[in-house]
Amino acid sequence: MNNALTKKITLCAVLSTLGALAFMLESLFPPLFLPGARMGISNVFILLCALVVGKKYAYISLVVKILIGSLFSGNLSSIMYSLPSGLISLTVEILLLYLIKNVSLLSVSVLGSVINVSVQNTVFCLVTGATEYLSFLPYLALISVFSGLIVGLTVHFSLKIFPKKYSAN
Amino acid sequence: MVLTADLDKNKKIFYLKDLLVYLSAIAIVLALFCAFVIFPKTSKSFTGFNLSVNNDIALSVSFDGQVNVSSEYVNLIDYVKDGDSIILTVHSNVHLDGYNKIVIDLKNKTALVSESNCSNSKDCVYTPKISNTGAIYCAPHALKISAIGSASEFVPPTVG
Repeated sequence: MNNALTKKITLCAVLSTLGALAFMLESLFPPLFLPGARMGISNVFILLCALVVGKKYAYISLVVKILIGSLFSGNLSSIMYSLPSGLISLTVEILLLYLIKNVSLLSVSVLGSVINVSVQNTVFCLVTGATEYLSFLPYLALISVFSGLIVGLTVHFSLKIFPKKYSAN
Repeated sequence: MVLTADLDKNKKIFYLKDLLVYLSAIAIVLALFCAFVIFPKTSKSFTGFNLSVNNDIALSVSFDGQVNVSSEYVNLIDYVKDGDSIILTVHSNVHLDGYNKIVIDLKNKTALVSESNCSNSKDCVYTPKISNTGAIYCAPHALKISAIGSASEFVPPTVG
């Protein structure tokens, strides 16, 4: 009993640290079109956490990743753009994985990354009032399809070689 | 319930229900394209660029070379006409030493920010150049550069 809980907490902590590191590394790239939108590499770790540890721990690691990542990367306002988009896309992904059971990880992460980028962009435009940036939204959503494919492939192949003794079950 | 029990089965790369998910993702992208590219707001005439600080128009440049500076910002903005382009240096009234250098090309009708000391990430410098759609926004200096006629109707909430 205690062993299982400790395993879950440790796994969740390791995956959220890796997610925070990926978040900070992504913010070092120069922005492509507009500030706040980034490649979604940290979604790999959140999706792994949702699959290997549990639903509740996925939300916890998402919040921890965003808070710690934006605190240490220096722009605190990215919390405002990333938190709603991360929550909404994680909810959609978990609904797809648990209710409609036979979906592959590729499609789930493609849909998650499209929702992620569109919500981030919309929140940015609403908050700063610069609605001219909404014209970048279709091109960003198209690019995010490809980044979602890469994330999905990474999660699929890393799940195949994930050692069973580390899984918290 | 945790999916680790499914780790024993090899999850395939493609299931039949994937098509539903891919279709909905493509539908979202297509809807966005329709809303913003195929049926855009009609810009009747594209006569120049507006520069606004804190949402008040401080400067407007029209493509026949005229530069109108509003009276409160006269001593904060200098401009130089250099061939076919106008180079503006806008000093910030928010930060004491802040400045943005903006290059407006009159022949190609584009505007971009060439240098600035706003922050570490310098988002305004990295934004690609704009013509009649899009805007360049420098958040630390509360600066916005957009085309005349593509006005945004939102009054932004004050943040921070």
